[in-house]
Amino acid sequence: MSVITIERKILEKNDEVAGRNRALFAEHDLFVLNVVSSPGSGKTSILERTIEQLRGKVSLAVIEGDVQTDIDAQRVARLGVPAVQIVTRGGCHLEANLVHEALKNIELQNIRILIIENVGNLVCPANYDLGEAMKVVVISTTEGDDKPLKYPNMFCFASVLLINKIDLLPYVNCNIEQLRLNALSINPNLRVFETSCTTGVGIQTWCEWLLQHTTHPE
Amino acid sequence: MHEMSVAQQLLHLIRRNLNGANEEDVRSVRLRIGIGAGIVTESLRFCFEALVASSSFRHASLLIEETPFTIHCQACGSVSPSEPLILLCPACNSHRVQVLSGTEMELIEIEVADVEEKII
Repeated sequence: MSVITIERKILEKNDEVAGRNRALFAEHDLFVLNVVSSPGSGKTSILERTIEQLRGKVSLAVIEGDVQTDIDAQRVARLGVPAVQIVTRGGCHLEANLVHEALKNIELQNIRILIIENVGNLVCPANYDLGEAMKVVVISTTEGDDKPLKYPNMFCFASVLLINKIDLLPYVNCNIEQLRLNALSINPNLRVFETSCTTGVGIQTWCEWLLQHTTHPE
Repeated sequence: MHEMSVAQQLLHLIRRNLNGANEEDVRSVRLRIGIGAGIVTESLRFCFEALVASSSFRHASLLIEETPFTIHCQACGSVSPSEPLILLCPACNSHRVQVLSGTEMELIEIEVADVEEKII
């Protein structure tokens, strides 16, 4: 028997394509977010609110990932922003090559911020680098304050945490301070924002930070 | 459930590293998977076996070495095992820690049959 020593990352191919995406983003001076969460936490609503808030201030484009339908791309396109839908047909996460293909349908020279909305899933997308500058994890108050402890991967690798649906706090069994502490116990470097897409509270603060970060990255 | 996608990428990676050996001659595939890598090893094994059963890799078996999650504390200097993905030093409670191991997802080596060991 002969042994062939390989010692390489299994997702090496994905990482290679992610590297090509990252180089393309750098070439166009593009700030790219990979937005992840469980289904129904409000990622698309946050995108809509963010687009409205940043209108006239910075040019945006969106890549939407879903298992099926282009409902989300339509929602975003209605706001006058270039939106490309990736339909994964059962795939539980986006991979770098899917994003690479989608980029061919966006005029990168005309935009400053690209937001990639990943497939709703709090587990698998954590393993796949898409070439983004940072991951933004969204959690809604209806999911409960223990979720960061139960699904640590996503919180461990994210830079920003948006706690969404805070208007529902009086009605749900969620202690927001505990939620924040649980998330920070996994990743103390998380930048945390509290938002509601229904009332609009917190959206301005988040967008100001995003705009500031786009112009002057840390 | 991204283990199927991981298993597919694993087979691609093996193909790229055969160094002229035949796919039919691969007998074992050794992986290093960290317990904080977000992989269910039983599920990865199931997906691997399902994929190779009908392929030229059908003689290959999967060996998985699981690595513990360990962190290095930059505040007190200690190296400790930790619950996966909990970035807190158990010795001094500092968050200034660096992950040393436990998130790997790597192909270490493959074993290939020599001429006299080939299955005819």
